[in-house]
Amino acid sequence: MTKNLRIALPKGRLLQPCLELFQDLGCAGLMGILSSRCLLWEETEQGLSFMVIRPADVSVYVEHGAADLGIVGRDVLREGQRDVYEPMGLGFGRCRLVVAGPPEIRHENLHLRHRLRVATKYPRLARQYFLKQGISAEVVSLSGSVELAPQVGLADLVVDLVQTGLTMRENDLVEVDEIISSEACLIVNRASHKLRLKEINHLMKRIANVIGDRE
Amino acid sequence: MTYEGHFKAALPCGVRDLFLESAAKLSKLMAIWRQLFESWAYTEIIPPTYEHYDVLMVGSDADFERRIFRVLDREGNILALRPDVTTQVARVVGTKLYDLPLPLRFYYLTNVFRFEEPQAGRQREFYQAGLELIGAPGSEADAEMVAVLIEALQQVGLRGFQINLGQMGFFRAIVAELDLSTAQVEELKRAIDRKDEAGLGKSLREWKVDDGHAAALRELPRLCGGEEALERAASLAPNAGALQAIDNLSQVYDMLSAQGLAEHLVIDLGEARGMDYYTGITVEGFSPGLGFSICNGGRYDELIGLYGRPLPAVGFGLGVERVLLALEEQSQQEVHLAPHLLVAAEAASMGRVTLQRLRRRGLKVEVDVMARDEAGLLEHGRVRGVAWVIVDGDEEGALVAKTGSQRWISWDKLEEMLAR
Repeated sequence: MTKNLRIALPKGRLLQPCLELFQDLGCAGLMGILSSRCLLWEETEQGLSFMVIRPADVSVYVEHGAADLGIVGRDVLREGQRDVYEPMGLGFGRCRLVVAGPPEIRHENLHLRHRLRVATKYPRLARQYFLKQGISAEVVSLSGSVELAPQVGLADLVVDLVQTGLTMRENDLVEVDEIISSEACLIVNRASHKLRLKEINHLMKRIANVIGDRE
Repeated sequence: MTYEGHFKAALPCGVRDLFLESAAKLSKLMAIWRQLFESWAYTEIIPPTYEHYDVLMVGSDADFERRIFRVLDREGNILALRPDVTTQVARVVGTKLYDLPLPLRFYYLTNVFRFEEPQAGRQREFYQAGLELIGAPGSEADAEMVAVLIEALQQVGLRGFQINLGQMGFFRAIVAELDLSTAQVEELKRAIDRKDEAGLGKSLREWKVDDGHAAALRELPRLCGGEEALERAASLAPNAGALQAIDNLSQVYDMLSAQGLAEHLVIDLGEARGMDYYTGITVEGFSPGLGFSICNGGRYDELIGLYGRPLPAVGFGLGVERVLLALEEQSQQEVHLAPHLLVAAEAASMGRVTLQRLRRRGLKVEVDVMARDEAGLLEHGRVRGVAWVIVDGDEEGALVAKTGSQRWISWDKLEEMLAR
């Protein structure tokens, strides 16, 4: 089998560190992907092909085998609930998915609320979290600027990512609980892992070495 | 594009119409497999499409619960469309066929239903071809199951496929000795399922699992490969049960190797998934270029006992649409729908004895029922891709048009030529 292994990378905040990782691995010209119009970037010498797609789509491509491997934040991965292997965390892109709200809500018993509205980009994880707590929350699914929601009365709480906590503080929100801690994860298509085990293990070993050297 | 006078054309999500090539391709696989299964002395079982929900759930995979199509009948009974056939076979055998001489060999070629997002190569209604070998507990039965599975894929012309052999008994035997709750075992399974070694290691440390058991579990996701994986697993086995599971897998592997089938096999203990009811060997098949499995199966020694007489059993199911996709990926599987012979109505009545004999030989003979004239018949034959067109005929013979020229041939001569 001479076909390149296909790797799906996420647009956005994880893209730069992903490209650096594979550059350190020997894909010398990979940064060219940023200025290229090509959707599929070949690094023939390394036997790898790259595609850059929306973060939420990475696990979809990998589950269906359109990409053999992918890199995606664990937060996005859990939200998507795709059937893929996730053999290693990559140590970058660390952040946490938290429940947050205005300071006064911190000491409130949420079970006593007649209605609780939660704004989030992670409707599935948010719903799951509140169900587990036995709280029937109304989840409002947004695609951005979630921190605004409590200020304008769209929601009582938010479920959102924090990296430094700065955005939260600026919008007068305090953390109530952590749902998951996230980092960039390598994911692998199940069938690819079975059919191209040696190549994939070799690649994973090289990735582990690069990450190990950095620490 | 829709026909102008169309009447509600929409289908519900998850089902599709099969016709022409798509229907012919599916039937062709089924026909090949039917013959194969019968040649191994399996007989067909045709359970009903729906059953009582609670009866079906007795033996169903827990994961199925959410994915079952449920229907209320007019009396308020909850019915379920079958999500797989194995559970139905277990019910039939456990409750009705318990005193027949063993082993029992059944095959099925049928549709199943799962309420889930339509996936690649799988709608909510899809077709399965499979078999169950019931009453034999040993490695010989396991090896027969895998051998027939490999032959099934070979016979339809699939190349380069891979069968991963696992053993649920290994994981089960290790976990049985640990003091873990069901939820903790589920968490272990989930971590193994994702090949999340870091998460797996963390849980094992947290729950203070002793070194011997932890080492075996930690390495599970990587216990994959050829015979060396078996040796490694045997050296890690912390108890007799786990060792027994590896012994069984070694025996099956050896038996299949002796039949020259080793090229298709990979040892893969790194899976804790599959149906909850699997207790021993498991199989999962993959084909190059396809991002999902094409078949799976395994040993389920505790399932039939949930319905009646406990009997060991082993079986597999092939995803028919998925095998078709794998064949398409390799540009295999051509079907020819065009008739061999197109005959004008009058000529057909003159030559009906000959035409009947040709049909019995398996030739497709289409009679023109549209009263076409000669030109119309030739044009229709061209569009349909028919090589032989009979435009006229009498008691003696037929006027045959073939690749541009026409000539009279006696019916006997025609039969002789076409029979070749």
